Amino acid sequence: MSEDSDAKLIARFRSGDESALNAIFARYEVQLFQFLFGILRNHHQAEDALQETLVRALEHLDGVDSGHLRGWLFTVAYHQAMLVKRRLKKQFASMDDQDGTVSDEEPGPLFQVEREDDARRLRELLEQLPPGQREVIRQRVYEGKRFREIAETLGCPLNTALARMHEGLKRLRLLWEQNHA
Amino acid sequence: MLDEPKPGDSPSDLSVQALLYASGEMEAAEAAAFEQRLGEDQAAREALCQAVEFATLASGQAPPTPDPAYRDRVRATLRQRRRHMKKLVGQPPTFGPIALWMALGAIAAILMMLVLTHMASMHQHNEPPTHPRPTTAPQSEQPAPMPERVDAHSRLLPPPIFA
Repeated sequence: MSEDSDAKLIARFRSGDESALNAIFARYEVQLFQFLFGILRNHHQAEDALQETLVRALEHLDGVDSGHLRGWLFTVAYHQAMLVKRRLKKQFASMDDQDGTVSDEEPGPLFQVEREDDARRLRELLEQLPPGQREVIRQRVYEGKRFREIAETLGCPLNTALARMHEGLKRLRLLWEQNHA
Repeated sequence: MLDEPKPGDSPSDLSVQALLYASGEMEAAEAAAFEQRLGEDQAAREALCQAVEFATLASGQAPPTPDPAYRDRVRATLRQRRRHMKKLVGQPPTFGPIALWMALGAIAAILMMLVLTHMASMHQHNEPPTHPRPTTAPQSEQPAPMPERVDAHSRLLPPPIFA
């Protein structure tokens, strides 16, 4: 990945340097994609929105302060995601879609474990977590329960269940990275 | 096994909200408020990215990434639009500039007419008359007809019917 600052990348891009575009992609595409995926919850829609986001953001780069490229890209991505959501809502309104949300054709990442090998390793790592966190993750990932149901089952407030999930996943990521390093 | 989290370890409210939002389980009103926050709060955006990444990891998958082919599509679109812009810049002036020049021409013509009219009227008022105007003299000042003319005039009259 390019070590150039955002300001330098913008200057290179404006001067027509194609490699600057690659550096911008490499620096921001994953985060922007995750952000869009978080809003749209659909891989293809998130990908289309990412494409449009980058085209629009780079076309209107002239007025952007070079120190705010990150914020600018996220702002454009946000507006693009909202645009897609509004379009979908209109489309689905006629089909009596109750909440207008769109689910991915692919199984949700929280509910499906596709790769058996990784799943086995994950179960092993899960055992290293504190029981409270482990239980929330287990019920969510392996039993596919909603957070409200988990909170009810465990007899704790919703926010506590969510906090345990968040902390558990954070630790799980650390363990995963250590395991795969 | 790792220790239970200490009280200070609890994730921020923002992280918890982002997790709930990403899971699609947030109440509609709450989700709308969180989406509004996403529009202006970079911390909320980052929290959502993290929530998506964590959630994916929990299923043992790599964080979601776009198909690299999208990069080529972005490049192609940018090139296409740049070419289009260049084409537009290189074209002879279209209706917009023509209309502008026409308007400027009309304004210039009107101004010219006004100036000429003004100059003409000034010229009429200020210039001393080189040829005196023929004035219509009063009736009494008309010169008396010459006698021979009177005769000629009387010759043309018909003879009196009643003498």
